[in-house]
Formats: sequence, C-alpha cells, structure tokens
Amino acid sequence: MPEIAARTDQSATYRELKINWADPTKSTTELRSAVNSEQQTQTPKVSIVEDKKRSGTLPRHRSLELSPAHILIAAVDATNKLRWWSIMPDPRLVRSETQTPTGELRGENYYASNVTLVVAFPDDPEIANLRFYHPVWNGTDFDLKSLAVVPTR
Amino acid sequence: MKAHLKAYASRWSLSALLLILCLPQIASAEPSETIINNGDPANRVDIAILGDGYTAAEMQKYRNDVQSLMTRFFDSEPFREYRNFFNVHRIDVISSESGADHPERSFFVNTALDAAYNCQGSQRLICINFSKANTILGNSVAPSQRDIAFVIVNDPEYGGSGGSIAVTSTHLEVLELILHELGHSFGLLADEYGGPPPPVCNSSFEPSAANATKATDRSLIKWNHWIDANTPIPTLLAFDGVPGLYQGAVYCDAGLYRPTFGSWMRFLGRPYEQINTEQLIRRIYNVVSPIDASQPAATDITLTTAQSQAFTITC
Repeated sequence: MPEIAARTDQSATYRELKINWADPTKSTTELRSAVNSEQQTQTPKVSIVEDKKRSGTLPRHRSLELSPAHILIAAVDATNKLRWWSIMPDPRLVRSETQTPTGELRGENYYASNVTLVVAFPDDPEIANLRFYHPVWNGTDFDLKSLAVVPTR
Repeated sequence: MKAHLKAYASRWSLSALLLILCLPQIASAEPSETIINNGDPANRVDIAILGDGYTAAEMQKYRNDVQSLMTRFFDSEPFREYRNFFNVHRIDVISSESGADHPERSFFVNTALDAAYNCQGSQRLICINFSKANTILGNSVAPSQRDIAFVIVNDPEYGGSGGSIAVTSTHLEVLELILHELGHSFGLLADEYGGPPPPVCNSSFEPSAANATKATDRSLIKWNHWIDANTPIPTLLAFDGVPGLYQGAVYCDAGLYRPTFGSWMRFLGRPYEQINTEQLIRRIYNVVSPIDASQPAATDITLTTAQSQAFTITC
C-alpha cells in the first residue's frame, strides 16, 4: 500500500454507505469463535442498505498502521488504482475478557455473523469500488486477505 | 354498529399515534452534545458515547454516568496528559425500558440497542445490536467525531465487551476493562496474558503488536530502548514498572514475552506502563497533529533582501 498520498486531496463532500455484512449460513444474531473463523465461513453477503451524500471532510490517519483487529478499506477506480484508503476497527469483532481469581485477565474473541457498518469515503466520481481487506500478520508483514468488494456506482 | 366501529377506529388511531409518539426513534439520528471540546474534530481524537437501557426519565442519570466514565478515562495516563487532544460527544439514545436483558433469569426489556448479558453463555459478556449502534453513530455524528465509540448500558451488574464499540455496564470496575479494551482497539496492543486456550497460542513467529515479542536477543527486542542495561534478559522480577523481557504474552505461557510484569494489558487497574503508554501516544499522534494551523498558507515563499515574513503556528 505505497500510495498513502492518495488520501491527500479531498472534496468538500463525502459519501456514507450503510452496508449490511452477513454470513448467509448463520442466524442474524450469532457470534462465532474467532479461532479460524474466516477459514470456516463462506463469503459474506454484502449489500448496500443506504447511500447518502454529506458535506464535510473525512478524518485522516497520519500513517498507515495495520492490525489484525482492524479492516482496511481501499477505494479504487475502474482500473483498480487506489483513490483513497481508511482503516476502521473490525466491526465484526467482539472481545470477551474477564478477570480470573488471580487478577489476571482471560478472554475469547468472537465474530458477529451479521453486522451493519457505516463507511464514509470522499465523494469522488472516479471511485468505482470499495475493497475490504483483513490484515493477516505473517511474522514480518501483513498479508491483505480480501473480504468483500462493494461497487459504489 | 357503524357508530361503534367509528368510535373504535378513532380510539385505535389515537392509540397508534400515541404509540408512535412514545416509541423512541430506533436507529435514527439522535440528539448529541459535545461535552468536551478541544478543537476541530478533524485534528482531534473524538470519542462518541451512546447509552442503552436509559429511558427518557433517566437521561440525567445517563449524563452523570457518561461524566463518571470520562472522569475515570481522563484520570489515567496517557489520556490525562493528552486530554487536550480529545473531544467527547454524548449521544442521547432513549430506550423504551430501563436496563438490559438477562436471559439467564428470563428477564427481557425493550432497549434501543438490545443489550443483553450472558452472551455466548458468558454471564459477564454483554452483546449489543452493533447494526443499530453503527446506524445511530452514522446518523448522529460525523465520521471525524467517532474515532472511538463506547456504549454505556444502564445496568449495575458487572459486564461489558470489547471490539469496534466498547460496551460497559455502569459497574465501576468495568470501566477498568474499557481502558484495557481501548489498548486493543485504539492502541493496537496485544493481550499480555498467557493461556490456557482459547484463544490459541501461536509463538511460531514475531507478533505484530508493539508490546509482544519472541526475541530473546536484547538488541532485537522492540522496546530495547526502554530496558536498563542492568536488567537481566529474560526478566524474572515480579514487580511493576521495570521494563524488561517477561515470559508469557498473547495467550502463550512460554515462547512469547511482554515488556513489563503486569500492565493494564494483563491486569485491570494497573498503569499501561512505559511501552504501552508510548504506543498509545504514537496512536494519538496518528490522528492529531500538534499544529492546528500555520501561516502563511503558501508552501513556497520567496523574499527579497528588504522583505520580512512572519511565520505563526497555532497549537
């Protein structure tokens, strides 16, 4: 992801998509253990619930810092050239942590099977798709595992 | 009969109207108030707080609970020192009924975000309807006003959860858990506790987080610059505040190491300690530039010998 400068020119308006993200094999309220969950699940069914244009600018992250608990959103044009990017906490992730009698914490991570997320991106007519990636750490770098592609026009 | 039907229809219409007027606006834009304003949200870390299980009559309690949460939050370092880099927005979400679901005792209430204890069979895990929460967040505050999101659930029983939206009950000790969860979601920090699984221990490669390593060579430890030359590696001390190389981290009892004996990423109610605090400050600066504005706006300025130009910055 070398084109960090792709985020610098922003229009005065932005688009906000409300996106429903659902595992078609699970009930709407089900949580599943995060252990190997992405290998176990089918491709999510992703649909746009709402598409709004709003005035204002978007927050900028000053550096691209990935984590397995976040997702990277890349807005690309019709030729897959990066126009903008954003990182957001993985909306599927639910952490359950509690204290043991010794005072130490213990926990387990889950993924929600069905979640609606709100994604804002510049109102740039060149943007054709939003690509969602889950950063997977391989010991030295993050591999970007493709989660979904959402057409924006 | 006709008159009777008319009267019945009229009563029904009135009832329906009253019901519609009384029902909270679920998943719509809710009133919000900026309760801590330190500058342009585009250059601040903005916290958005929602409540669940607060009825219209309990809005003052909600405001007090939010205030308590924020007082505790800004009482802990590094947030105390960097509080001027934060804004806080309270979103007033009204629920039809008070409290949260307790399925374990067949107690259910109608709340705006469907908060429920005993999620996944874990009594202390509160799940909410993230779709409703995300929708309200999206409708109520701008993207730059929701860098971090919390939900306070109006129930005194210990419970909460972490993730993209941290959830806490009003139990005072859960606020400690929220600060731990913020270490994950905002600081990108790893858990510093060991096993047993789940989650699975994987010590086969170097973790990505700033506060975990498998390196045992002092020069390769990520936080080596914090370790005193006299501190042994690995470090077997059992007291707080001394950076070193302590065995046990990221769900592994062995093979992975943490930077201090017991930080907030291992125990509740402890400091984040040096290495995690440094990482949290780095993350604050990922959102906030210490310079709010500068003059002149031009990036190329040419002056002749006799000319002068004032340069100013606003912090």
